[in-house]
Amino acid sequence: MVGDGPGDRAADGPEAGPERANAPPTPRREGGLSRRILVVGGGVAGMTAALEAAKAGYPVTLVEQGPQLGGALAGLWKRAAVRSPFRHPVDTGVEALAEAVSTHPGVRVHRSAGVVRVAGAPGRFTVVLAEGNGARVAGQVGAIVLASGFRPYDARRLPELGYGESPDVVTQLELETLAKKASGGPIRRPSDDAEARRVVFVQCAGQRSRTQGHLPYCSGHCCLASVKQAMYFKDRDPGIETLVLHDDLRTPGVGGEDFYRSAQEKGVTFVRARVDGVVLSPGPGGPVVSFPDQVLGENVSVEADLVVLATGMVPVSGTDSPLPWLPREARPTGIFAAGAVRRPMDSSEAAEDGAGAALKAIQAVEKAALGRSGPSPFRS
Amino acid sequence: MSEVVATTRTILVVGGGISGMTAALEAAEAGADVLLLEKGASLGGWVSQLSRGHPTLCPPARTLEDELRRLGAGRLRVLTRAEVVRIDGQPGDYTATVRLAPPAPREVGNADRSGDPDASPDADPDAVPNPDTGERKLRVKAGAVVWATGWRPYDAAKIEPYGYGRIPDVVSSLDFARLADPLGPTGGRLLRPSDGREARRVAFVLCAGSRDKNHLRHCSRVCCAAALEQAAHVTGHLGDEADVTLYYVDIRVTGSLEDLYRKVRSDPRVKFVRSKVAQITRDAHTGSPVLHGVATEGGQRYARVHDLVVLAVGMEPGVPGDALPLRLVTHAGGFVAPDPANGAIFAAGCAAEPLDVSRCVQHATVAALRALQVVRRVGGVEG
Amino acid sequence: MGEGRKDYRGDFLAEVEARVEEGEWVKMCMQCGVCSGSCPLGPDWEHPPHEIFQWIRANRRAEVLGSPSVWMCTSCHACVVRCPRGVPVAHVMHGLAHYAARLGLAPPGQPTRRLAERFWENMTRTGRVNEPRLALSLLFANGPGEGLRTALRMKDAGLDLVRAGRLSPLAALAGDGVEDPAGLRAVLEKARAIELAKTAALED
Ligand SMILES: Cc1cc2nc3c(=O)[nH]c(=O)nc-3n(C[C@H](O)[C@H](O)[C@H](O)COP(=O)(O)OP(=O)(O)OC[C@H]3O[C@@H](n4cnc5c(N)ncnc54)[C@H](O)[C@@H]3O)c2cc1C
Ligand SMILES: Cc1cc2nc3c(=O)[nH]c(=O)nc-3n(C[C@H](O)[C@H](O)[C@H](O)COP(=O)(O)OP(=O)(O)OC[C@H]3O[C@@H](n4cnc5c(N)ncnc54)[C@H](O)[C@@H]3O)c2cc1C
Ligand code: SF4
Ligand code: SF4
Ligand code: SF4
Ligand code: SF4
Repeated sequence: MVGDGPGDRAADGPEAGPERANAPPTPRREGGLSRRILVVGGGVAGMTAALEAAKAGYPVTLVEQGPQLGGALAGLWKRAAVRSPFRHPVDTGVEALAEAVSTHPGVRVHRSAGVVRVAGAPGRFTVVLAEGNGARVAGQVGAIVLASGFRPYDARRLPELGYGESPDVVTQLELETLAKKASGGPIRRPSDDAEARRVVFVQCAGQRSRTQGHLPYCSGHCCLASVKQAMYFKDRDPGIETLVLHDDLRTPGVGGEDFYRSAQEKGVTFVRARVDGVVLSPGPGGPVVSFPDQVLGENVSVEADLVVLATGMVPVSGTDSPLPWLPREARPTGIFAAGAVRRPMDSSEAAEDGAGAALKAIQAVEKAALGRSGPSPFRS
Repeated sequence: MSEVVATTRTILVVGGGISGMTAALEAAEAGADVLLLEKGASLGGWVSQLSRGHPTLCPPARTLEDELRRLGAGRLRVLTRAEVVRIDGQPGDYTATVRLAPPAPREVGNADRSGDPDASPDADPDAVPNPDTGERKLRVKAGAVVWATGWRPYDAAKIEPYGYGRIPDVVSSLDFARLADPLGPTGGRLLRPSDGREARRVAFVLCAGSRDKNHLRHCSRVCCAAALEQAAHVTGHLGDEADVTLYYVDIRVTGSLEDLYRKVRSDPRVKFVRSKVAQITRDAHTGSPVLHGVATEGGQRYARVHDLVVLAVGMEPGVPGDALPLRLVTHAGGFVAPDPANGAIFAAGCAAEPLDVSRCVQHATVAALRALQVVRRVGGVEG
Repeated sequence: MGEGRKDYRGDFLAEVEARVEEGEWVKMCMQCGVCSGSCPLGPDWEHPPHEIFQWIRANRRAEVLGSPSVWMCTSCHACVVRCPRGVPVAHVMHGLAHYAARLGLAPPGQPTRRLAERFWENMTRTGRVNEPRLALSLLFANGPGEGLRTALRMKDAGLDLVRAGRLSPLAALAGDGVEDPAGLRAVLEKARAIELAKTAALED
């Protein structure tokens, strides 16, 4: 295949180049077919796809545009409980996963890299990667997993909820950053670095709404995320007040309700209310959240040190596809989307989806092999 | 043709619902030997019974047809009326004990092969019919197991204040699916059980037995969406006559199912009352069910008569935690947890967690992959 | 509007958890409404139990402790068995009522409160409830005029009870009791002292 830039090193492409010594699946190139799987995106979905495909014996190339693996999960302090008794936030596991991916002999990781060209069909896609240093790498792969994830909803569209008006109105993702910075110590509000002792969570911020510029859908994970984040405060100091203002509290499934109950046990207060607005307090205090309490039927306002907006996820696809150059017609055959790029989902589901996409990619490779070079060795 | 029933390179899939079918197909398509065992007479699980009542949520019927069409492909064998009752062994080398119900199991998928396991050379000597029941036992080997035994509805009669079983016009969502089925007993007309009159005032009672310490602690995830879908079915079916009420605490539909919720919510024929129903009684004169409770928004107390009351019952594991054929790590409600201690037994679909069909498919694909990884290692064949 | 910017602060909830019997359950309520919908006295509550719980969260101390509603519960336990969160609603209501009475915040004329107080007085005197006397004391609680009018209105019911052997007019004069009423009163006094000591710190 031909590269298309001065930095091209076709021989070092995803397929070519010296395989690592103990790479178990020596890629076969029968009739020019590749069994290598290209994974675009190094978030939890992409990493899981890469690792699972490699574990099943397929060589993998993983391309991540950022300098680190991990995606959004790497930006979280903790994640919601994933197993019985579903009580406390737990480690995200992202470092262990990134480590497993980076050290697996079957996976080649390209950081600070992107895909600039894709052509071909299952079993013989030709792809060109652009490395951070400007170098181009070309090569052949058998199937592609697209795991480019999501971007957070732009909260600047929510001035009515005080975002941009007060530094102490933050998104859930920004709260994760604050919590990471605090690293188990007091979580401090941005305006003056004082410890946040009254925290109000505003659910469905710019979501489930027909208003122009809002998201019409429910991102599904943010109720659980607020429950978890409220625990960040309560687990540190039960005296910190946390108020979650929600309409429907959506924590479905096998453990969601236990996690919600656990938050109540820890003293997180839940109130059914669709928030009207968040305004700056006229005096020295923090932002003021006003809402009708749907149970008491009263309009109330509370002052907070910190207001956290549960803004949604926007898949990095569709109009702002990361790969607008991706040949559309190639999508149904041999290119499989996985993770939050498909729809909003939490990290467990993204991992599950990544693993599923890995299997789909394996099948595509196997089918191509069948069509081109007789029965697959697995069928012997 | 001397086919071996199974070897340690076989993936055994237990349960032929959407999850088991998906796992079996996905694994077979990736080149594995697969044996799918279903205890019932036919494949499809609950989806084949529910699909006609839920056209927009996800077109389960279509999915199922697609899947069935694909069944012919690959190294996939299916036995129905075959219930897995016991599993011994360890990863890479399991032996499952299977109870074969009479009549002889039917094999789908490969017409040229006999479905009778006796015909295969390594058929188990136990496969001699029990003289009383006609049952036979069979042992099969497998390297990995996909456990896809699905769910069963929570027994609505256990929710004592709701009168299921005492008040004829209080039915479960599954009963409703039968009523709404054009091929069902009423030809799709919503005729209430007590007197066969067409139901017009229909109530849906959400979280019937879920999110409740006295019953199922968990939220069953699918019942909100299913109730919305059923409510939409009533309005679509009855037109302006329809008078539907949903009693709920939280409407839990995520993603773009919000559109379904918005559509039903804005329908003037459908009322939403935020309240867990306290009690259902029977009207002394008309025999109709009466719902009692307090609307938590607005505070009004209600005692509202309906023609038909549908309880959105929850999901519990099809095979309860204490009846699993071997010890597995489960969540509190008995759903099989993903846990390394479970070895090469991978739960798929509703055996693992309450899931809708699309999530089941996603989930089962992963179980197939994990099983595949195990048998690949066992087979020692280069990947 | 209530107490403005103190709304939804946790002060009162913390107080309830520390001072009120079973108060630590209040936070577990999921606002489903089953308790209120199950209550046979439902129509008579100004604020049914789930609202009381919400008021506590909203930090409305005066509203809750001064509310006649916390006096409504007759301990039928319909709510307790149905609550999906296992909240002992009846106990919390009694706890709140008791606490309000101790602080002197309970509404004075509330009828169930009056019943409770007279019942207690009546019962602790001899160690047995003297039903006719209890009935009389309630009838005449608002003065002789109203007492007579009510008595006349209720006379058929009273006579029915007498005929059925459920009410003995003679008992109003004599009545029976436990062997050692003074001892009983001492026990009760001791229990009361212990309980007051537990919450003394707060009643500054
Ligand atoms: C505030 C917040 C809290 C959360 N809390 C939880 C929680 O408690 N529990 C939980 O399970 N989940 C939680 N989540 C959800 C979780 O973060 C996501 O489910 C998960 O990150 C999705 O993973 P992904 O791999 O699909 O996408 P991402 O994490 O978005 O990863 C995509 C990766 O692809 C890369 N990429 C994108 N385009 C390209 C390209 N063209 N070329 C190369 N690389 C590219 C990106 O740089 C990124 O690294 C939370 C999310 C948020 C926002
Ligand atoms: C009221 C209601 C409505 C629903 N509507 C929708 C909807 O509209 N859309 C949607 O997406 N989802 C819906 N669902 C959810 C849907 O039913 C499930 O997602 C789906 O049925 C799960 O499939 P499964 O294969 O995991 O389990 P199941 O369908 O339960 O299949 C399990 C199979 O395993 C077999 N089995 C069990 N034990 C053994 C054993 N020991 N040996 C062998 N075989 C065994 C059983 O016979 C059964 O065939 C609804 C659920 C409910 C409660
Ligand atoms: S998950 Fe919760 S906060 Fe997020 S959009 Fe859905 S309902 Fe709103
Ligand atoms: S999905 Fe809806 S009806 Fe079902 S248990 Fe959850 S909240 Fe209740
Ligand atoms: S029944 Fe229980 S959970 Fe429901 S409102 Fe009453 S106290 Fe709260
Ligand atoms: S125990 Fe009290 S609050 Fe509960 S239902 Fe009975 S009277 Fe009402």
